[in-house]
Amino acid sequence: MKRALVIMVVWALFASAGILLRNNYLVSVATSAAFLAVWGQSWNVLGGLSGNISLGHSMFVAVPAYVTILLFQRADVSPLLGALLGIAAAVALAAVIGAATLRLTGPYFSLATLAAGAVVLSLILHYDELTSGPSGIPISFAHDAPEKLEFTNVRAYYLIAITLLAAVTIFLDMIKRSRLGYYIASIKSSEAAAAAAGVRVAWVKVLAFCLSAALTALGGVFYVFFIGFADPNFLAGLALSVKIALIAVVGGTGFLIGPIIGAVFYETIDAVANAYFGAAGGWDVMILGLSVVAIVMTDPRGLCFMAERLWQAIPFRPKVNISARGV
Amino acid sequence: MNAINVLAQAVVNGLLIGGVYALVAVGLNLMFGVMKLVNFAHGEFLMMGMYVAVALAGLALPASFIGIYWVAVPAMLIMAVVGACFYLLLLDRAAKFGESPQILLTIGLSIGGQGLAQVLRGSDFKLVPNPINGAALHLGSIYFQVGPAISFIVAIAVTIVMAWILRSTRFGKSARAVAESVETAEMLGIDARRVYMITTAIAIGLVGLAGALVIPYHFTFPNVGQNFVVVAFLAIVIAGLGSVIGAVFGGLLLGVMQSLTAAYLDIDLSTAAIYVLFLAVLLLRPQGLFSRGQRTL
Repeated sequence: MKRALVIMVVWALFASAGILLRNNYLVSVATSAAFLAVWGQSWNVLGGLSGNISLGHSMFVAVPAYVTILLFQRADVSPLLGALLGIAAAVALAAVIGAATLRLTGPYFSLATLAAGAVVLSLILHYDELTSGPSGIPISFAHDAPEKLEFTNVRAYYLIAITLLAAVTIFLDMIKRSRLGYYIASIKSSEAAAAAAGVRVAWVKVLAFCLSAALTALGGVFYVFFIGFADPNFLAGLALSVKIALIAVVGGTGFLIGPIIGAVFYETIDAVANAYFGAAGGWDVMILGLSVVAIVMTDPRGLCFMAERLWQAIPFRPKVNISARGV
Repeated sequence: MNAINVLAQAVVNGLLIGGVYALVAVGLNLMFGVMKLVNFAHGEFLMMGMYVAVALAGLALPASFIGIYWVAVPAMLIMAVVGACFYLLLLDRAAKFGESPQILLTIGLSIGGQGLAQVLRGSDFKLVPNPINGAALHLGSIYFQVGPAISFIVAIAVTIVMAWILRSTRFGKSARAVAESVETAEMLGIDARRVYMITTAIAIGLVGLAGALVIPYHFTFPNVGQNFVVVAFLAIVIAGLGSVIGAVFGGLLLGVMQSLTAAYLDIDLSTAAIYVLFLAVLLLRPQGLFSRGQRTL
């Protein structure tokens, strides 16, 4: 409860900072970071807690986004209702893929999710009569229309993103402490031991995968309206899947704040590299990739553990529990 | 052209494309078999091998057959040294980190490598002018593209040599022992880290050779590795992780699958088709088509 309160206070601080900040570019960078953190947090439900690294999570961004937009543009279904259908579609997809891959662990699971993501992308590209294929779908609007998720001021999306982030973070905190959370975490050390202790491993894995997909989808629906363009190669691409997994693990999977730190780290490097070297030179990608290598080589558990070790090295530190490590 | 010809041509094209996949997959599977590591940066080592080969080819006049293919051996050796450094600098330390950090490490290296190539060499597509590109032989009514055919022949030769190395040499026997059980192998006096280093050097050397063989007919650019390595990943899982000969069959099978889908359905679906085959194999035979129980290599 105390933790939820802290999260809400931090949310209020960031909300007012975002409203007061005059620079639209910075707000939109912060919005991207918040969406990325939502996905990293959602990815953690399976990847962080159970150690099964999914490299196909972008399909849970793309599928609900496409369902929502297509229902809206082709059938005039309100995006709010469309979002629910989109999330349902993502959960159904996760259930099918989860059921198919539940026997797999380690690199097999990662490669299977990678393959599933690639199938989704190539289907979106192939059925171009429905999805407009590689050219994508623009979402253009000139006026605010909250019931259609259309806002002309980027701050509206910023508020949506950080609200989602706060909600998902509180939800993840609750899951970690719940019976299901302990079941998922028990898979991490040994599936056989978990099964022997009475955990229905297959069922728990599929459930965690579906839950993770639903939360990712929630972010995906709002994200596509924020970006204003459904680009299949971005939304369903391997790069986004990798990015989601990367920020979660780089932040530190044991920490509630891990994906947030990872997302801020990623977007900061991205923005700084683009500002100094321009977006086309490959500098951003190079710095990001090599800093991931450097982080893993320094402490494979991620940035939060590095910060914790630094903190513990301070001789007269005040006694505060900063870790919030949970399971 | 009649139906048989279309089919035969598609199968031949597929086999020839599959040769490169096989060459990439052999090293990938060798590393997985011996070191239990999926090298997500393998495609970037292929890309690096291609850039090395392009740079070497630029030194001499590449306008002849010899002029473009002499780079294969030096490129392979340079990449083998790069592979040994890759092991000594990163993998040696990462070995004790466990699965997830290793996946993360090689993914980071993959992304960073693509960025590095773009920073150093620019993102334009490079192709060395040479007589191989576009050249074809025809036997009856079936065309054999010369470049892919040479890659295919080399892939088969490399597989035979690798099978011999693993079966008969001292290193091969050590590698098989380490693959079976590191603890037992070390108790018997095998230096596992030395085996790991040589394994990485061979794997990266082979991908360097693959790079040199594709530059006559394939553009070189920073993200080129992804075009080959994703299929190679699928090939090794389909074949059975760890099986070197299986990796070659997996690579060829996927090449043919891709080519048949492109010929009969739609070129857009050729990628989806191999993924669907991959998922089907995972479901029905998770240990892979060519893997017998627990035996590896």
